[in-house]
Amino acid sequence: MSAPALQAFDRAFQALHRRLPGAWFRERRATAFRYFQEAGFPGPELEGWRYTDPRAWLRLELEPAAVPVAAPPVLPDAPLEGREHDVLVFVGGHYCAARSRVGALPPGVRLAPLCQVLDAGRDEILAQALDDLPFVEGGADAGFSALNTALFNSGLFLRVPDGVRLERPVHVWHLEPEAAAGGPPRCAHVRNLCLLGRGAAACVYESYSSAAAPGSGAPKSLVNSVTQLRLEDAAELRHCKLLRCDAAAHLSYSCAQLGTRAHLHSCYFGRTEALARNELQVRLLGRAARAELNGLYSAAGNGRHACLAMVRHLQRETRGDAFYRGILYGAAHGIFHGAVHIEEHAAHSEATQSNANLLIGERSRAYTRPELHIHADEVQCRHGATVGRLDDASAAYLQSRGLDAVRARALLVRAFAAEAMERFRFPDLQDWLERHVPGGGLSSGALGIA
Amino acid sequence: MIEIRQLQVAVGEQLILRGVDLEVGAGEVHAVMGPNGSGKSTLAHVLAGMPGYTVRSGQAQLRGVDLLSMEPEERAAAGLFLGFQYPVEIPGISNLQLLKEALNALRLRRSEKPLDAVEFLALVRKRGRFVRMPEELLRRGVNEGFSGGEKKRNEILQMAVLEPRLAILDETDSGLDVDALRIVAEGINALRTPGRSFLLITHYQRLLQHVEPDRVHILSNGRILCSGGPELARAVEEQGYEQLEEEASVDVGSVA
Amino acid sequence: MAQQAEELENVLRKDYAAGFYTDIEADTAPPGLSEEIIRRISARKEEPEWLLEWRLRAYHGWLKMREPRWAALRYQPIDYQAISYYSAPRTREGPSSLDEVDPKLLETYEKLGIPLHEQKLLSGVAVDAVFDSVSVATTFKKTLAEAGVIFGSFSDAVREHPELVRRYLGTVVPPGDNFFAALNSAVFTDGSFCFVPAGVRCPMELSTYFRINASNTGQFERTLIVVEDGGWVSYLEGCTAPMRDENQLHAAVVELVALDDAEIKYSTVQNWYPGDANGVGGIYNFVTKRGECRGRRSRISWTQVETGSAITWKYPSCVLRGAGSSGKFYSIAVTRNYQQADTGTKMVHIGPDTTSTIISKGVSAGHGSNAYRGLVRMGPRARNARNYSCCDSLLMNKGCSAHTMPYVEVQHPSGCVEHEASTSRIAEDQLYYCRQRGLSEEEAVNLIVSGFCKQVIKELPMEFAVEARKLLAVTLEGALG
Repeated sequence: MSAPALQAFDRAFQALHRRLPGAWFRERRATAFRYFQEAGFPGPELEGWRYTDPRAWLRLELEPAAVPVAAPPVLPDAPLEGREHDVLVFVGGHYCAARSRVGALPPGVRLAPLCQVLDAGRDEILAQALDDLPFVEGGADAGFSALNTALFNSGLFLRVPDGVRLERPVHVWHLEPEAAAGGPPRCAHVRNLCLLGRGAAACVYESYSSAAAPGSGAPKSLVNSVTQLRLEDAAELRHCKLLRCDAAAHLSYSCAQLGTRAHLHSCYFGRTEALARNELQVRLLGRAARAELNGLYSAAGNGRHACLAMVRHLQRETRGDAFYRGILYGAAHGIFHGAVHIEEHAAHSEATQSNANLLIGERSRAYTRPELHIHADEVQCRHGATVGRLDDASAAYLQSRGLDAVRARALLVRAFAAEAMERFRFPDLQDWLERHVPGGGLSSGALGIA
Repeated sequence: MIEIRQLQVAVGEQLILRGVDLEVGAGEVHAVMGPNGSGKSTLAHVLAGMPGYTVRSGQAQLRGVDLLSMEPEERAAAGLFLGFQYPVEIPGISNLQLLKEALNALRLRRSEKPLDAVEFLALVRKRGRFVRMPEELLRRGVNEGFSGGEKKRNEILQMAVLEPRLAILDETDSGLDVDALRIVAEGINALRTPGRSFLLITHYQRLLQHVEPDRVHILSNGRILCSGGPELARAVEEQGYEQLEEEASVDVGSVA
Repeated sequence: MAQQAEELENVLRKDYAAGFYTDIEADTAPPGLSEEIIRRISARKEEPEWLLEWRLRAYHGWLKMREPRWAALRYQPIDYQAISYYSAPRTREGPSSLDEVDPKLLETYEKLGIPLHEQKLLSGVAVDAVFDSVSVATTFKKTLAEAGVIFGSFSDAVREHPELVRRYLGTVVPPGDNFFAALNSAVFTDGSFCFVPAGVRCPMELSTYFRINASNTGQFERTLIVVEDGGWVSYLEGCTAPMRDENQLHAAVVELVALDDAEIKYSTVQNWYPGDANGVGGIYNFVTKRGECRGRRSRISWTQVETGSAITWKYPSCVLRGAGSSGKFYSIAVTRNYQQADTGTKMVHIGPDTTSTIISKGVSAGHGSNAYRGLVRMGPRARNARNYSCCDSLLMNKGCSAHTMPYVEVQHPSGCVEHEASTSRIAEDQLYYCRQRGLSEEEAVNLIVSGFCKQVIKELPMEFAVEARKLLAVTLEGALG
């Protein structure tokens, strides 16, 4: 990491940290920042960052968004438009009350921006949850999550007490505004926290969009997000993450831990022409816990899109299924890194991992690494990975049935994407996905196919 | 051929067989029928040495030799064959390969010369012709992708090749259609010899219409409730198990 | 060969009875590595100047390199200055017939099951027995020579066909390629050389045996196999080593070159002393094996069955340069006790229309650990490249582990990769089914493991397959504890 860049962060931290929410949290922020100073940013010498070198995408100086920026007049293309839901909007990492809307909630439920919760005073559960990140254990590649802990302003805070099931979905929406003309590239740090008690249930949408238009050159901003999901025994969380980031570089780290018989259904849909790296670490801590991870990632232009899905089985009878599909246009690179770790006490567990990549662009590339690490004997594991392109024979067949070449290929792309989309099962999102998934603009209805 | 005395068997903490007495003579075909949960499969499994069962008390002797102290492969060498209710699949080993290894292992224990591939194939074709398994199926992995009927026919084929003294068939008729049932029954009948005995474990009496048993026993609640000739099977068909159980308890009651 | 294999197997069955070493006069250099030692090695072998230069360049390159360490392996650091790099049994000048070979050496071969008397010669396999650092006997040279095939020790090839050696040496694994290749290039003492001219199908399967004898003697074999247009050769490699307390280093380099329409099949059945039941002792096996499909439509396949070996680190690879060329990798790795294996392959697709196939089967028992690390790379000019990979692990009990780490890099949009992997265990009910049919538990395990490894075993030359099966059986004896 270049000296000027480190110095810029240093200056920013000194200037900002007394103004960040949660005075009682300052000590921990300082510790995190010290870690970042020592570890720096991860680079390609680390396994998990081999194909996504963030340093190539970072401008020399990134100003953390110090001041709230006005919300854009119109919120572009909202997911869940027209559906009943609670929404928290953040612009440039700052809470935008004007655009947020939270209805009546069941007793004990806390749904609020994290900055307000931090400012309300010391909370041990909150502190402990915020601390539970790899950099605390000394993970070598945790520079970004350490920086996030040091500098985050706000994000989603959701706590659902034991036994409560939220009826309405929750949507947390992070918008990156247009960078001020001539201004330096900006860096927003966002932290989301979801704590579900025993037997609790909720549905959370996490979306990121950029108001800036795609263009050439380095991205105009960097979003560094950390999302923590905690499911106690028998809790259920349906979680959907949406990313449309053509001009911003987006690095996100999500971690989930599940108690006995808890169930996580987590889906990711992302498109970028810049850099998007989406890492999800799941720890199955309780017996019979179950995680389904689905992802559909696409990149165009010179974009780099990486999805990492790591599932660690620590108890018996746990189950993890990871299913990811990548669609690469132009000269984009798709990267998938999946890992399944089945530890010694996780007998009778099952894991599947599937990744397929479609190379459409003439200069597109795919890198895939599905890994299995098994330390228990009574397990069932399978993984598969493929890379290929659109099948000419299928395209020819469709054309022979009257579709022009463009529509034929779009339909085949949609069919490929559908394999992942079928596993999403978020009916509220159907329309929105139809518009944004590659091969889009051609819903099966429009083609007369049921 | 086999003598079972006062056999008590538990699975974990649960006592399943509560004192079974049974004798099958050489050349005889006995049927053991009973409602679900009566312990029929337990009886078959424990005689064949399947792990997971604890013999609490009692004994079983096969041709005068203590059966229950032997390892499964020793019981096989002593002439015991179990036709599984749910034959397991073992991909990677062909049916023919397993059968050849098994047959040669048996022959070795009996100090007989093992068969080479050519001799073995000839034997299989001869003995198994009534089972009508296409050779193509036999070259597949053990039971790999087999339908229920094909699995059962494969069990009968193995029995025909291995020539056991005592064949215990565990619900061999379950899940079979009319044609498969007929083939299986033909197979069993073709193998009835004075030196071979059969213990047919079955819930329904369908199979017994084709394979006429010498004796029928009703197992209920882990004990032999009553025994009789083939007509007992028909009684089960007509009255059902519940009624028979009631009648039996009434008899016991009246004796007291 | 089959009888040979049987005798070898009997030897191994007796608790690694190859635990002996020949008490023979050995001319050993003092331990340590320096330019002086290298000059001494080269002088003793009467090597031409160009080869000495080549060694020295490699040595100076090695000094600048750092030893690689991989996350999946644990081993004691190696002291390179404590190893003796040269050990040759003192014999008279070159035996012209077997009668002249040192009788003690022949006795060693007998113990290892490599009898070189006439009866065995007729069984049709040429044996280039490498005793420590010097080739002693090469049989069948005449028959092969009639076919035009050159097969013999590397040292002999340098003397008799220097232009061939010089043309191809180091073109597939350059000395700067990696740490152990550099070391090997500097201090290699002998190995095998094989050259098959255009259009010739080598009339017999070639094989070689290794032996590591004197304590602290590293084994640095160099093998070079070149097959010209339309030629074919099948090469077998099998190893055995005596029982030792200290770890022994084995850093060989194998280079294969296949020209247009040529085919090379390279098979290895390897049973290294695995370390005792507590993991003490054993062999370090760091080998660089690479085949280059240089010609159009050329084919190279690596088939290996590995058991034992304290630390295995090898990645037989194929560089698919020629249009339409194909590379295959078939592997079985068995670990038990505290053995560790980190193996795999690299398939690098460079030219157009290339294909590669990877079938890897790992069996872990006891506290064994098996890691597969594979790379499939399709470069930016590798049009229409195809790969199929299948990596399966069989875990026999608690306490053992399996790791599968494939890397797939596709840099051309027409590349097509299909990779699948699964783990399984020997199911209780499968074992019981076999036992009820009369097989002992041991026999049932062997049958199921054989079935698991079937795809690989059928790629081995027939007699090797028999030896491989027996090796698996012996290795897994008592594994289901």
